[in-house]
Amino acid sequence: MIRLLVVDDHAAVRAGLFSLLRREPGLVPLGAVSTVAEALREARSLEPDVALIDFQLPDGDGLQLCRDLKLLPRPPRVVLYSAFARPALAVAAKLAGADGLIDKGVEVDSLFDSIRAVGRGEEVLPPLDPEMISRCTARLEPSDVSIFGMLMAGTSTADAAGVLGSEQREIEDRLRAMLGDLLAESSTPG
Amino acid sequence: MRNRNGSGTSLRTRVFLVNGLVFLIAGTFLALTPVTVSLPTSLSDALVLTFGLGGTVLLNLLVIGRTFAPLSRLIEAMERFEPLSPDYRVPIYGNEREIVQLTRAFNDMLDRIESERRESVQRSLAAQERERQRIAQELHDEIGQSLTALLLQVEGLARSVPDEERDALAELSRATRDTLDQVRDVARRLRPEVLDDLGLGKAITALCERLGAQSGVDINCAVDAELPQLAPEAELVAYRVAQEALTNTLRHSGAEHAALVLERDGDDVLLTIADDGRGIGDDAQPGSGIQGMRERALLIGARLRIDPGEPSGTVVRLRLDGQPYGGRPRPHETLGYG
Ligand SMILES: Nc1ncnc2c1ncn2[C@@H]1O[C@H](COP(=O)(O)OP(=O)(O)OP(=O)(O)O)[C@@H](O)[C@H]1O
Ligand SMILES: [Mg+2]
Repeated sequence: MIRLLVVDDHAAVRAGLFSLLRREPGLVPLGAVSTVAEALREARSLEPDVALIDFQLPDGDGLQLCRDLKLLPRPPRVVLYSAFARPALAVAAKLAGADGLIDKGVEVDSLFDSIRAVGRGEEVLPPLDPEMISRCTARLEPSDVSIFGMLMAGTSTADAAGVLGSEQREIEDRLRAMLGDLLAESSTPG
Repeated sequence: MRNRNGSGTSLRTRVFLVNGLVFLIAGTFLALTPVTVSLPTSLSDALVLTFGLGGTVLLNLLVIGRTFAPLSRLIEAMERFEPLSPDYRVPIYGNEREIVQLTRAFNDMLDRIESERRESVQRSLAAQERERQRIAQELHDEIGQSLTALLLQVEGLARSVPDEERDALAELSRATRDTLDQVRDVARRLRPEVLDDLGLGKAITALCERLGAQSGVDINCAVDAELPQLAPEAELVAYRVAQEALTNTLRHSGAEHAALVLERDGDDVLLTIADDGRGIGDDAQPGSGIQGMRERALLIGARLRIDPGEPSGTVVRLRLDGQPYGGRPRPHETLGYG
């Protein structure tokens, strides 16, 4: 049995997802909320196994929420369920420590399969193109590149802080700044 | 501040000197020859006077005409200017001060017009890109979300109805998914996120695949693995040119085959899009597509050529300067991004 928390700001998506999950054997939706703040509160009190979160949220984004959730005493596994089309989101999701990244266009059955896989402890992230990683690295502050490498290799922020001899808080801040840099647009018209 | 004055003599001095010389010759003639004019004027005197003055005037005309020759060469050169090769500047002919000043003033004016033109094209292209991005975002966030919700609800319904009714709902869910795909496709066309994340080569390959699959035209896409590094605005220009040229091929040429090549040529990147269709006829109505390709190319100092193909069809070529690694495009060559 996998206990889930749904986070999506679109009411109809939230409702549709909730009722689908409720019908699916083995999956138990505990609640459905629409903001980062509510998600954190519910995650603290309900302690779900998996949080299924949208990328765009009214008071933040799914990646930042993912970091917040991962710092809870009993962190849930996190699946980003997103319609956000940027390929670099895969890199950002990996960096944020998400356990899954699922496109909103997929068949419902494959969404359920992915949730089960993440519930079992597997990682469901799209393959990362090496060229994309190097383009992404180029968007970071040069001083962040080594932290980026450690985190992408799966090192936790606590361990990275230990290796670099700095505070975990500091690494977390750098991580959040990097998430913004990764999805910044290099050719944004201005 | 450069010296704005020509170093040579001024035209005024020349005309003055020429006139002085002619009068001097006429005066000398009068003084040293037995030609005289007496009162009352006889017929022969009148004739001498007429020829003398006429000759002086003709001589003057001839010599002054020569003096002003650089001016007509300058006018010819000014007329040769055309907006599509804006780098042309009028060479400085002769060394008469007024001519040099006039040429410089004309070239300065071209500089100002050109930079004004560049800026306004830059502004309008940047505004166009911004607008496309906004529309793409809205399509994605508003319509995309609503369709996702619809899809989830249909799928939910399909799971709660008896088997006989399930087929109809499965059909509905497929239709919804197709619509969702179409919306995303339009959003992608408006704003090529892949370009930022995967680079020009992969973005262009994906573009060819998508357009080929949609149209049924065989698009042969060859992209060099190792391309010189391009500035982001150059990548965007190359992507937009490829997009417009392929769209034109699919829409207007009636071709069965099209080919796109993105290759390295020394330090440059060469983009070629060719088709074997009917070619751009003399009666083609100019649209905003070809104009837009030219403007974008001009803006980043890339060279665009559109020629008839051999033996038929159309070939579009774009040559972009690769920048040495870490190099920055010169300021006047950027599209106004960042
Ligand atoms: N590959 C091609 N083969 C044949 N004719 C072409 C081709 N490309 C362009 N043309 C002709 O040139 C004309 C101008 O093209 P252009 O892209 O400027 O405008 P358009 O495609 O008609 O409209 P839009 O502004 O939407 O691009 C077209 O209408 C068409 O007649
Ligand atoms: Mg066109």
